Amino acid sequence: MLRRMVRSLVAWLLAGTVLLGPGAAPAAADGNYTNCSAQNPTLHLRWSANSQTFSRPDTWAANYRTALANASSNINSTTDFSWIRVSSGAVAPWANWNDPNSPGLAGVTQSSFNNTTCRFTDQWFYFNFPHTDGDNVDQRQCTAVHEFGHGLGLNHVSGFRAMNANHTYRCHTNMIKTFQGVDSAEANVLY
Amino acid sequence: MKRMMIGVVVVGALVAIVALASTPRPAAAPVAPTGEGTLAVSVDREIPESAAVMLGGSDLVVLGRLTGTTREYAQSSDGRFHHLAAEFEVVRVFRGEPSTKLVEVSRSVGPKGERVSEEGAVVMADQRLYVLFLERGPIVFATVGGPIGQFDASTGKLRSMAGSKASDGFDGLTLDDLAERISVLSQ
Repeated sequence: MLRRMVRSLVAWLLAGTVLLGPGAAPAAADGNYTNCSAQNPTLHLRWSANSQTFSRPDTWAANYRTALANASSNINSTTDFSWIRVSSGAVAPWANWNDPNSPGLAGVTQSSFNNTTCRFTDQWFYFNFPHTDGDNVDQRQCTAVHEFGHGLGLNHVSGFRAMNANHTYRCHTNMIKTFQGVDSAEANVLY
Repeated sequence: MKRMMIGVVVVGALVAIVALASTPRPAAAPVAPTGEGTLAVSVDREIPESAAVMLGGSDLVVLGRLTGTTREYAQSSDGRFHHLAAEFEVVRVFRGEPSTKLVEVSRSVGPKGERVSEEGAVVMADQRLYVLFLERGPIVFATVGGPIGQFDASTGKLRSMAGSKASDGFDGLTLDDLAERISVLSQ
């Protein structure tokens, strides 16, 4: 009888600990990361490893190739995460969103993830050529570094940041084409 | 001894229950009105800074009913996303002059026909009434700022479908209030 009671007590306390686990994460910065689900908002989506591969068509113009190389290089040198370009078999290929009717739209990121582990499994990055064809190489890099940031798990934020939601502010009014200190610090929380 | 152990178990259980009750609960996520499949994407686009800027960028502001009729005008180069012209029946005009009773507005769907949701914004549902801030595109109209320029109006009041400074300026207005606000902002 006594042993059964002790077992019950331990089971209750363990259940409390496990269920409280996710809630114990710091809440203040949660909005800056991609969440696994609305049901589990403090569990952040990220890759299981801190290095992932991307690809882009070889036929893309030099300015696009340079923009992607500069953007990935910037993230690789300022965070603990690395985007490595491969010619095929990448987990995150780049393509053209190709919507001529949305000229204000510059880039898109779509992610697939395992909703049990909350880890990304695949990603797709897009430039919207009807917008970005009119941009210079710095503006394209500005869009690319932002999408790569989403790709590693960062959300939109406000302020002078690579992850600022407003494309006009970031890539036209200002030129935020590299991760700022806070962008890198937040990436390093994930990896 | 037995009584003491029972007391310990009861206290342990109470501690766990109180701790569980104090765990932060997530806010309810926006849900597509019809419960249709949606595909969430992060979109980097130009965003209107205020209600006045959003209105200034609008060629048309209308109350429209999404008919469910669509046609594809483009797709992404990898074939995963399809860009559609979705038809709205114009019920009331607040700004501009639509040339027909039907206007086409761009909307994208995913690889399995899922409606694209930008940053968790609510996805529009067929036969529902919406107020749309529309800019004329090269093919069809587009809502200004994507989901920022869309409001659910099925209850007779505007309900923002994606929070922003610009949409806050119209959120909660009745249709008559909207007409008045547009008139004031246009002066």
